Amino acid sequence: MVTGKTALVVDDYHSMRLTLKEHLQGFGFSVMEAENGLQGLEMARKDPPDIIFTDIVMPVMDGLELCQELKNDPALVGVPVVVLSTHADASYILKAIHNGADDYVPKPIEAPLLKKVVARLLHD
Amino acid sequence: MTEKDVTLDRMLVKISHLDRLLGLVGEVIITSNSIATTNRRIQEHYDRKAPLDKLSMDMIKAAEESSNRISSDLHGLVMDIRMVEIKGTFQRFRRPMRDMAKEAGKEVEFVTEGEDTLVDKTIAEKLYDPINHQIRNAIDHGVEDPFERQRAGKPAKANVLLKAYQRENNIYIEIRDDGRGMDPDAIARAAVARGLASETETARLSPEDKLRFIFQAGFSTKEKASTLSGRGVGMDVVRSNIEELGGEVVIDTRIGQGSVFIYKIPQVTAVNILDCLTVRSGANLFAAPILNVVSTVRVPRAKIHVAFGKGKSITHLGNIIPLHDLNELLGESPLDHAGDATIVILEAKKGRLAVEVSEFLAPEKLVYTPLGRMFHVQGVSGVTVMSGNKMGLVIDAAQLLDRSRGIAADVEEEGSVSALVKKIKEGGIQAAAPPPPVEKAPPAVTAAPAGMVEAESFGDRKVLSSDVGREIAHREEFLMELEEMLNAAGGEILSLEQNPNDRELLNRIFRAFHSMKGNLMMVGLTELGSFIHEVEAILDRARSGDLTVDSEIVDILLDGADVIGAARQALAQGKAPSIDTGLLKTIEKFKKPLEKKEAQIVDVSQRTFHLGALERFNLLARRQAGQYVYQVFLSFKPEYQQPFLVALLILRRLSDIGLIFGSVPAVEEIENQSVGTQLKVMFASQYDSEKLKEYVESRLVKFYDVTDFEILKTF
Repeated sequence: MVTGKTALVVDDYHSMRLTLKEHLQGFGFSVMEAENGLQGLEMARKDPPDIIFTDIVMPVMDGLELCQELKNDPALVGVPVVVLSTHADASYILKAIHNGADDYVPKPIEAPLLKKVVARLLHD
Repeated sequence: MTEKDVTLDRMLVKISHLDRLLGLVGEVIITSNSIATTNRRIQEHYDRKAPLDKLSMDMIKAAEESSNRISSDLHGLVMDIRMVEIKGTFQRFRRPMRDMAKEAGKEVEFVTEGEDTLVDKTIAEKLYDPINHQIRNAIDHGVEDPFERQRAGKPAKANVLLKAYQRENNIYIEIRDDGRGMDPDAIARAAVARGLASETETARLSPEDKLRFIFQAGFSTKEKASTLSGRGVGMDVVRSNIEELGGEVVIDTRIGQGSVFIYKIPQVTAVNILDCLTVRSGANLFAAPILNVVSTVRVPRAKIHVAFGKGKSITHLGNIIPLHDLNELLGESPLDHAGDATIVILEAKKGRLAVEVSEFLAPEKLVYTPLGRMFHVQGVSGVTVMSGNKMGLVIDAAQLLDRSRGIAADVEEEGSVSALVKKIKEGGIQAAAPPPPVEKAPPAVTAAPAGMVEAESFGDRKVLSSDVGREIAHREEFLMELEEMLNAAGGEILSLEQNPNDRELLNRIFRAFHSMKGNLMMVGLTELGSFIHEVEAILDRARSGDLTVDSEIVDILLDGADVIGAARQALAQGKAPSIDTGLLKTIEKFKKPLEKKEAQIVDVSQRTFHLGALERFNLLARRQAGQYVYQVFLSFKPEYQQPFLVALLILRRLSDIGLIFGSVPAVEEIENQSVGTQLKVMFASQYDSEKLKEYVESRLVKFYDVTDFEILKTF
């Protein structure tokens, strides 16, 4: 459904990136990976993806800062950002939304939700 | 290097892949060797008929040299990749150290140095046991209690140092304590008392030699068995462990000042590519390390000397060498001695030995796995996979020589070759790949024993049957990362005990638990994940200054880490992880009493919009600009996400096409979760009714769980 589109996955844990990557590749994305917010930001600036998925708790630059940076960058403000986290309480979801996240997916990831969120943000 | 560089500089690789790579490198080396041989033959051939021109000769030589160099570089590189920091091993002692010192009523500061020293992963794993013994000994025997220390004019708190460093090709591990030290004379007296030596014998010994009695099996200077270190069992095991790695143990001690044990271990012994001569002896295949092979000969039966009808020998280059049937020597049924004898002459430090075999096979480069203490057969050091994927036993020439001379091995249990072969065939011992590390459970928590999978609960432990048998995606990666996180967290928790007010430290621990939770939830281990959530909640309270970090909190954190550790171990073994329900109860004590905050759901039908002056102004301005003003009623039913999130996202989508003046519930109410399944929005848009309807259907109904809607154009 999204063949030819690229997704950037930002998470400090390789196994988590792999799991998400598998989902996304299953949808037809080609996937780039970054290990923290800063690396993700640099990759996005160099080669803007169609959608970004980020964890919150990461070293160097966390997911919320990454959201802010992305939304403050005129070249990247249009790229939807999905925050993924195990924090299920409202305060974290709100924090993510207030920092510019376009959607919030709780971990563990439910494939149908992920699919739905991708459809929402990429309009198809 | 900045932190960023560090994270970019590493990746996880499966050890099994590396070992396969190592095996392939071995193949490359063999191939390159055979190229060299072929080249020599071509050369010899042409030398006899028409000498090869110099250019061709040089080309052959150059190709041979570079293929040799490349294959040996490859080997070196793979060995480098297998290197890990000793840190992981060292960190595993921090927790037991603390517990042991507590139990023994001693004050001990545990210091580590040289944690970044790189060692082969297999060595790192094999060092665990000996270091563990030594640390126990240091605390139990070496270090005095605070009172005794003060009387001796020492600080009450003792120091135990664990240090690693590399010099040339050796890894050095030091275990140093500033305790009471060892008295060589007392040790010698104890040795006499235990019948290990006579008084006249010990009288001649140097203090260094007297100290070495502690390495003898069954030696102990402490009469009472202690729960910590048992009855002095251990130092003999320590020595044999280190010797298994090809290393040695050096002791330095001063009475009243402390002791230091230094392990010197050659860096390259763990996984090795071994040049071997492979032979068949009856039904068994053996590999004799080339370094130990002096020669291979075929000797007519008539030329074999038989002394007194028993011992056999051969003469080789003027030397008389005792001859044994390899099978017979290893306790198996003897070979069929017909025709010329096929003989391998082996050499060890202490002498030479000829063994008769059935057949020479080929010289091979083999990746071999030391038998270690899994199984002991005197004369066999390891197992290997030979060409044709056949299992072979690697000959230990020194042990074989001892065996031929009737010197028994210093082991408790001696196995036989046939039992070993049987065990390999049953998969009990894996050749070629190093043996799986023996998992050490942290002392406070025992892993779920096999068979507990079916049980719903077992004593005070809850077995998470729902988590059983789940297919974990990227299992090995996941387990590896979990272990890394655990090790990191364990160290930080212990530091926290020393620095309870270190916020950054607390944050790091929080992050570690949070990540572990996330990863466990991610792979579907939700019950375990929610358990960690409880621990995380404690950390969150501590972070916000709500809780004071004391030793009880540290215990909870350590126990929490233990539960994860035991779960990790269970998962690694394909068993069900279990949770300590006792710990949950303790945690409960520290949990904040839940604030009863029942959000009032706003009744959308009963409320009208509250428009402020600014909104009213905006509404007029939009209308004058030719926009339409709408009230939209929406019913939505989120399947996966919380209603307030979906409500907020719906508002965003509407503000994409217009300006929202107000909503019921208002944004603040939605954020306080006072939203049910209905939403009313007043907004202005350029879209006409038809276009808006289409937009709501194609976006909100399709993607945002809107089940029903109504659009009212107000003007």
